[in-house]
Amino acid sequence: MIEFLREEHVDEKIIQGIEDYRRQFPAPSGTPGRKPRYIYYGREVWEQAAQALLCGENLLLAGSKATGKNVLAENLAALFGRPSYNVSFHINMDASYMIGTDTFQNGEVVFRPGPVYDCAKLGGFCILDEINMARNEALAVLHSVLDFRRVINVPGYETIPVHRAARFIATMNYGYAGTRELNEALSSRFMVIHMPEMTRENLEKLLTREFPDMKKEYVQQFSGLFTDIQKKCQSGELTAKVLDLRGLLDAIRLIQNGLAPYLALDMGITNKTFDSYEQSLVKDIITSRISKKSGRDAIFC
Amino acid sequence: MADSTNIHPLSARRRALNIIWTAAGEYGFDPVFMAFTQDGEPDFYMDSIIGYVHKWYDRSVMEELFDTLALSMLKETFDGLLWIALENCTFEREVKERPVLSELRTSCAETFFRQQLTRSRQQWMAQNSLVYALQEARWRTVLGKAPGLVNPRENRLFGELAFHGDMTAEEISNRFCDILRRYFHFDRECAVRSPLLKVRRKIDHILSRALPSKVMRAEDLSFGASDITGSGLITARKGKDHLLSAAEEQNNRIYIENCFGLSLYNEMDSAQTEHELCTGNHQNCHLYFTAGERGSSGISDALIRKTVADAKLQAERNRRHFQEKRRIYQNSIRQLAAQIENALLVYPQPLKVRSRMGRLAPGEIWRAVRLGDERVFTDTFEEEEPDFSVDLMLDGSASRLQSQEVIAAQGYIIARSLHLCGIPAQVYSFLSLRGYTVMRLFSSYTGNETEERIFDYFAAGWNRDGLALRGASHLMQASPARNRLLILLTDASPNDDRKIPANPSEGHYVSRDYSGEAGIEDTAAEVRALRKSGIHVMAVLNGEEGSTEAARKIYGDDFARIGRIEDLSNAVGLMIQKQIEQMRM
Repeated sequence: MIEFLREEHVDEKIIQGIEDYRRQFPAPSGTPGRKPRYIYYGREVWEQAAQALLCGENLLLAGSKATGKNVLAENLAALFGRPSYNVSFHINMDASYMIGTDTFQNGEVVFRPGPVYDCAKLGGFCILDEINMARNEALAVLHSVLDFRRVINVPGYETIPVHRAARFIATMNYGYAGTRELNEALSSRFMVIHMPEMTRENLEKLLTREFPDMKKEYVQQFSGLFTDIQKKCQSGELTAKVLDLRGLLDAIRLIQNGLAPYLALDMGITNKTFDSYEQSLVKDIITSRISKKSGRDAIFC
Repeated sequence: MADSTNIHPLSARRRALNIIWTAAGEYGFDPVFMAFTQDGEPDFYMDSIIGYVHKWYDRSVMEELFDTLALSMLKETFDGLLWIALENCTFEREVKERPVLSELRTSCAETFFRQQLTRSRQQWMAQNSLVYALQEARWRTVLGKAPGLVNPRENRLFGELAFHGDMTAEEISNRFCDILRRYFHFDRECAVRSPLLKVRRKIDHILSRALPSKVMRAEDLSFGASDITGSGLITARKGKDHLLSAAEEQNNRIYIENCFGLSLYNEMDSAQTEHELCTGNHQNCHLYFTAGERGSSGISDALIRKTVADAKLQAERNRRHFQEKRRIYQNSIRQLAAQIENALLVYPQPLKVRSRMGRLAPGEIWRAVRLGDERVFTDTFEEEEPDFSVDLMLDGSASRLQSQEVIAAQGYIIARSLHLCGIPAQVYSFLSLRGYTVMRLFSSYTGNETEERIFDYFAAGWNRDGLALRGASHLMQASPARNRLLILLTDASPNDDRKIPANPSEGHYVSRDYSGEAGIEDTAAEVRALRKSGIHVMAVLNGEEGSTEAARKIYGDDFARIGRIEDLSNAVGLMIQKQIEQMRM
């Protein structure tokens, strides 16, 4: 990961800071670091995020769909060489789910730690995914973890100090059904990065890395396809349902395995909306980029 | 092709626009041309070309060129020839970036020859044989054949129209005008100066023409412009910002009362409400709440009598329209009601379940000890009552004159569906006239089976959306529910003849018109204020009315644009579903 940051021309001082951090907090044994599946592209965001974490801050990555929030969060954990703990938030999320709860084992009641507890104890990176899906009241338990106190209070048990290496990275999307505004008490405990829309250039880098054998002209067409959809969503002509980067990558994978491009793109993108008019708009974009006759061999070397 | 609005249904036109915008990589502009196939579907290739022209060539130069051509008697022919030329150079330019374009071009050419023998195409050919012959020649060459033009003059012209991809907009414009001069004796300078042709140009703008070319000027496709119709109560923008005399005030109030019905409040309560709500940008304006009840005294003023008679006539039209399309509308009501009920059903039920974690249930501990069953805890899922009400506010200004019947039907569909699901709903319209923003209440939360009154809806005057939103918040105080949702049927273009007073503290030293940016800003601020007070505000835009950009500024993401009336249930259903989901938090 460090090498990648150098390739992206991230400030050398920040890179040194990360190396110092890694020396200071070597990866705990028994928690093997996972190699991230995707790499986040965008030098400025990398610098903002890494600097904030180096200064001991927690991060809130806010942005619309397909801006790479989770990819960046996972990347940061890998970059800093810490184990990552993922907590997916939902409407019925409560303190016991995050911190831990009583359970019954071998005939007695024992405490069963939750991911936030584990992370705080081991000094991991805790990714609070879609944090605004939960009720604000349920999140109050995180306040003491996230601010200067850095402790976890487990009712009926001890108070645990949060490990010095531990960081919390929350992600949130606004505009999804079921999301809500984050209250000030919580958002003030984070440094907030508004994740920019993925640029065409970064998208091309991503596609080239994911599919090294894809022909250059098709890398351009697929990235153009995605930016066309992005523009249409921004101008309100399409809903964000079809703005699906995962879907595009999955579709290309299907094409790579031999499925006809139109069928694959329908599954990956077009059919994400159930409105036939929207589908027709997406199909028009695809027609303007990809030939009906093209197949796996035309697209890949 | 007399009435192009019938030929190209809304979604096809919107789709064509989208193809053009995608190709141009830019949104929001109104293209001068759009292309359709014979069956009314967007012509994918030619619409893309229109977009690429926008992308590659200087807009002002191209617009000037088309405007110049529009001055000529041979305008249709010239438009057609120019598109033949533009197709070639734009294709050459774009295909380097988009290899698939050559395939699309071939397919467009093939379609051309497939459709050539149909009758309507022959008619089309008869209308403008030169453009048709050259177009045919172009598609022949695309398919790798000889142009097949017998006439040497046509052959030469065809050769000259093969503009290449390296040309700039200026070069295109100059060369095309040069061709017109040599072949058609068309003098650009004379054309621009000719007063006769200028008159014709104006008439052209007014009259809808049938064009022989496949690519048509979009101005012929647009719906009738709003605000220009002769009926209704449109007053010229007066921009009064001085205070009216007491007598004028009294006159205006009597006028409003006679036109729209008695006020819901007595004079003292009215004054109190206005004192609270008509402040800031709406100082010196009035808010008038009425349920349309008429007084017993007769109306002496002929103008008012006519207005009342017109309103009655409109109510009949609304009812007749609903009856005629009863099948579609009843279906919409059923769909919407089902969707709301479904959203209510998926509410979490109060459920206590035995679990391996959660709160320890002492009464169950024996199970663990004796049976080895570790589920000795209880987990509870909470449920809240669907405690919310919906307010529906219909824009009743003259800009909606064209679609009064549809708006009344939409209002009825929503109100009726909510009623069927037992959700308290209130429906009213708003319009502004003589400084009064009139809120006409059709049915209230407690009213039983009063939705029928929505058919009394009629449009007139202006719309001061910001003040109307304040009025709505006043009416919503009567809501029996904790959560309140306000849905607006609007075109998101606030417009009133009473100005916004000067406000030096915010840097406005003179009064401003309540329209455009200022109107949008004010309305957006009122929407924010409503949201702050806990009211969810959402908007529905009909068809292509109003700008998406303005709607986004005012309502954020909380608006939906519906293309067909059938989409209404779905859009409103989703909004209410969203509201229910948010309440669960």
